[in-house]
Amino acid sequence: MQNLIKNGALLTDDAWVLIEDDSTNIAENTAAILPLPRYLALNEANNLPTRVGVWLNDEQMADDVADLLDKVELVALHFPKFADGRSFSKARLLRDRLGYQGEIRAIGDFLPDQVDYMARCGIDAFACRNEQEARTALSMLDTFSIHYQGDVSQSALFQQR
Amino acid sequence: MYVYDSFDQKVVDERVAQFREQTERYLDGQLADDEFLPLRLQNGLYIQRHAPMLRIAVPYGLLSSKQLRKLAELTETYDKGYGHFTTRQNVQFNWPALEDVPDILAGLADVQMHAIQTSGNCIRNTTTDQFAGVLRDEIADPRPWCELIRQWSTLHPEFAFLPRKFKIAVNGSTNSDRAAVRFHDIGLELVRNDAGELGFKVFVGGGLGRTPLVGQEVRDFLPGIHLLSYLEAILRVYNLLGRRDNKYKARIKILVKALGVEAFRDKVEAEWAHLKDGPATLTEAEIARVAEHFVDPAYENLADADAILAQQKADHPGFAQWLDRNVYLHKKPGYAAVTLSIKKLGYAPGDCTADQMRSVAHLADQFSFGELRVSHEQNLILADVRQDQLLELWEAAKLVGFATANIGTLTDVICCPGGDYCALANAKSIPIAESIQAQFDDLDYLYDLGDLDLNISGCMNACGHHHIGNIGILGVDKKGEEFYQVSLGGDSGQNARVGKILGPSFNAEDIPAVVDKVIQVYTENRQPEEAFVDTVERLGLDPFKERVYAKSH
Repeated sequence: MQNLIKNGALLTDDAWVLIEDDSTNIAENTAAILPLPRYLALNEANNLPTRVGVWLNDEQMADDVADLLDKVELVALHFPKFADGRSFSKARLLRDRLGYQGEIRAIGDFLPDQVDYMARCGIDAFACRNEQEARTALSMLDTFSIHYQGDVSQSALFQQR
Repeated sequence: MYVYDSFDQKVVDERVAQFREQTERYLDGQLADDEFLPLRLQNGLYIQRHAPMLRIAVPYGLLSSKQLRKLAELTETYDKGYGHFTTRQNVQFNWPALEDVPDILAGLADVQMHAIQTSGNCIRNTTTDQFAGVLRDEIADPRPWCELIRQWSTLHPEFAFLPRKFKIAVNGSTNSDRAAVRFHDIGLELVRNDAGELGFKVFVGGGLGRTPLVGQEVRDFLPGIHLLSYLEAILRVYNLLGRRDNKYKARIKILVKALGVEAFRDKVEAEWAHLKDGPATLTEAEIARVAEHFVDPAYENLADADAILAQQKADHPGFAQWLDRNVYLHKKPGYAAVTLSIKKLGYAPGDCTADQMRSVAHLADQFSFGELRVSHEQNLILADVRQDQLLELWEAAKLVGFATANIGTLTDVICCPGGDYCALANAKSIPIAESIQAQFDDLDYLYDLGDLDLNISGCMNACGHHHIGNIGILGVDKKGEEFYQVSLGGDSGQNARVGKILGPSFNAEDIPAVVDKVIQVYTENRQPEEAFVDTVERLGLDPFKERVYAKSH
């Protein structure tokens, strides 16, 4: 994927390919991010690519992938539009509740201005809409140095006061 | 009141810097209108009919005189020299230039204020009783809890893009509910359990707008230390399951209604089972740290000044009326809480000029430890006034026009800005308020009518809380013309009720006569000491309908 931010840097050599739907052809040796139904079908047929991730649409919940988290390198959360905040909670559930340690990647329609909050919810890779937005997003990752609430990496401010 | 430490200050300073950069990017064409929208909204900035509107947070309605003077300065520098106090205890500037907003926010940050999350689909300013902390019947002071909620909700990373806006209110009084907690997304009522421990009764899913609903109880006792983790559980369930396909069905009240309160409660409790005793659990030390900011001011040890006041009342009949309507009992002997009416005939309810702000700031310094509160009825409160200084305060308030002794009466109207200012409104609301205030200008008559809330909204978004006015007036649009629907019997308090619509709507010019007829039915039928809302409840709407819609002969 292009215009990807990962580990706080802009990445130019990301190998992952987003497989949008069931009909998209998967070339051999592709590191594929599959839609959940496709993942389940290929898994059933014992035909998963060697490197595999899964992506959740807006209606699919963290619990829906609970059983396969130890088998995927990557979970992508799709933002149908930037105002749809469900994935913030899904990311927290993946990290806090289900203990997922792999990559959580934001894909779809989100704003650079949201990556700070996303990171605090456990999303650690951001497939931005274009290069300019990726650069802006990079500069906005640490907008706030003080956080009142606890998040996936920090306890609440009141515990530090 | 709460005083920022270096952490709190840094949050608002960094927020100002962030918004300055976002505004520059927007003006530069790098951010589209619809992308800048949620960013500016979460900083209180709307684009309105005539100009942007900036809504400034007044956390749970509490202001210092210094902050009020700053508001006066900012509106003179960047706006038209006045501000508007809202029904959610905030302040709005109606005419700022977009380019100036970062500087306004910087000015606010200088006095520990901000506009964070005063609009947008996020957790808004938490509200409470304007007499919090000085009430005689208070279980505990709700303000420390409001401040804890303010800090927890401020820039919360998970809940900034909810299906819709989210409002929390806290009440600490046993006998009254001036915070209208049953008409909030979450309403919290301070209670003690049998063991004497402090906690909350939790209501969810109340609200006004297009679908007015009374909140339902989801928990009868939540220990204080678990407040934030429980709020997180509710918000997470809502964030994941609330409707996003239709903004008119996106509030949590619709989710609670669709699931049923039992199923909704089960989901919240299941989520909370994971969060309970987790990192969001408050510590006694943090509760104490915040509560220390709300200890009593340096009260003198006084006795109630009954004899002095009796003499002063005899000497000044106007003062007697003012004491009766605008002065409220105080927990501390010798003190009283005073409501300054900032509603004057010919002015929009809630509007306050820079000069008036400075006058009130001066009164707060002179009479009430330099602090004041904004009420959801859009008045200003001096909460800690010595009873033996009430006459002096009354004289001073009269000089600046804030001593109208009409609090809680028919002319103490709650009213949104309406079609004169707001892009959403179907109809004007301020001229309706004015016409009613003009019709009922006889104070003795108003006193005889007693407690009577009249609320006006210019559209069904219900910013003027028309559903819960004893008399509610709603502006509606019919083929491009403005009409007004009247409802009776709404109640925002412990007997929370949504008013019932009287019948077909009216022209603006008929409204004063309609209200007059409604009042006639009340005065002809009331029993001794019976309040308007109780008469409506007892009689039902029929006699009111008959009078109002009677054909003239």
